[in-house]
Amino acid sequence: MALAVNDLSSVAGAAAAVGATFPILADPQHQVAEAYGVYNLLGDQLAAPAVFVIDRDGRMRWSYIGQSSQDRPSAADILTRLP
Amino acid sequence: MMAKWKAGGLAAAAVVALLLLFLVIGTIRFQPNSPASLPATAVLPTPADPAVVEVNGQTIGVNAWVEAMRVDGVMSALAGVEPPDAEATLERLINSALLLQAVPQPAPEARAVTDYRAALLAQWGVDEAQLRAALADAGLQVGALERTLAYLLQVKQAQESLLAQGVVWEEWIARQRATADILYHRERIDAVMRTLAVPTAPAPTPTAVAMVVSPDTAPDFTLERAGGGQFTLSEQLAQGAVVLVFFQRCG
Repeated sequence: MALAVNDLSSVAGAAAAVGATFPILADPQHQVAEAYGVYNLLGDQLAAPAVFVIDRDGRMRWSYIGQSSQDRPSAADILTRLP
Repeated sequence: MMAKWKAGGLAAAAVVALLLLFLVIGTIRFQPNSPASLPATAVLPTPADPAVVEVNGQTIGVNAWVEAMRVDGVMSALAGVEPPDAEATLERLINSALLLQAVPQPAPEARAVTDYRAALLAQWGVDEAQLRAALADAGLQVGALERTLAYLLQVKQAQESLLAQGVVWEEWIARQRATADILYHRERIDAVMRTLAVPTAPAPTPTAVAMVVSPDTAPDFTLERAGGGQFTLSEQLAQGAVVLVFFQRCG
């Protein structure tokens, strides 16, 4: 959907600015969404919009689970959560 | 926007954002005729499911417990009875694990699960749409019910084989529990119970649910990258922190 594409564009732009790479992955069997506990939380058989910040030791440092498709933190907010 | 990213003082080279796009495909939906048999995964450990109880070394995970509670809630509501409390559900999982350790059972045929489900719907007087609505309200997918029913069938078979030997269930399980190595991870159990103690609307908010099921340690995974190749989280973490962003769909 356009919203996802737009988000991708803006994040990719920021990625380019910092020289990071942004892999785009598909999870059609939703096993990763289930493993992270965000699958079908909104009863739509999709992943809830969610952000997880994981440190290099694999620990969850911060997470945000949106309650609707519009409910997600800004890129600036995410940046403040980085370890 | 770019200025903000820079101003964030990113240990930037170490940060990778990962965008998971959910391709909604037909396989998500329940397919009653597809698998020959269904694995009973209700209490099998997964790396993403930290243990709340270990029964002779077999893990009962947070996610398995929470899913069992939700399924118990749905089934009780449809049957018009009071649901068991969280601890009763956990004790049931422990007893089931002990039973199947002592009397292992093969996974039931898919047909048996389908028949069991149909029989329950008939007994409850609800149709498929009502069942799906109840599951969705509890944040469950149909697969969770299928796993539970497959597991319940295994437990039922095991109990019947014991009873056929003249065993009195209550005495038998009491003896098993007396000699079993049952390790309760109290801190984790209490954390889940505290979350449950918060009054919730009939449909729990996603945030409240996620507080229960989100693991402390990020589960590793490997997925296909758009454009080719594979992505493995643990390999990426070796290079620094990762921001994982889930999108609902990409269509």
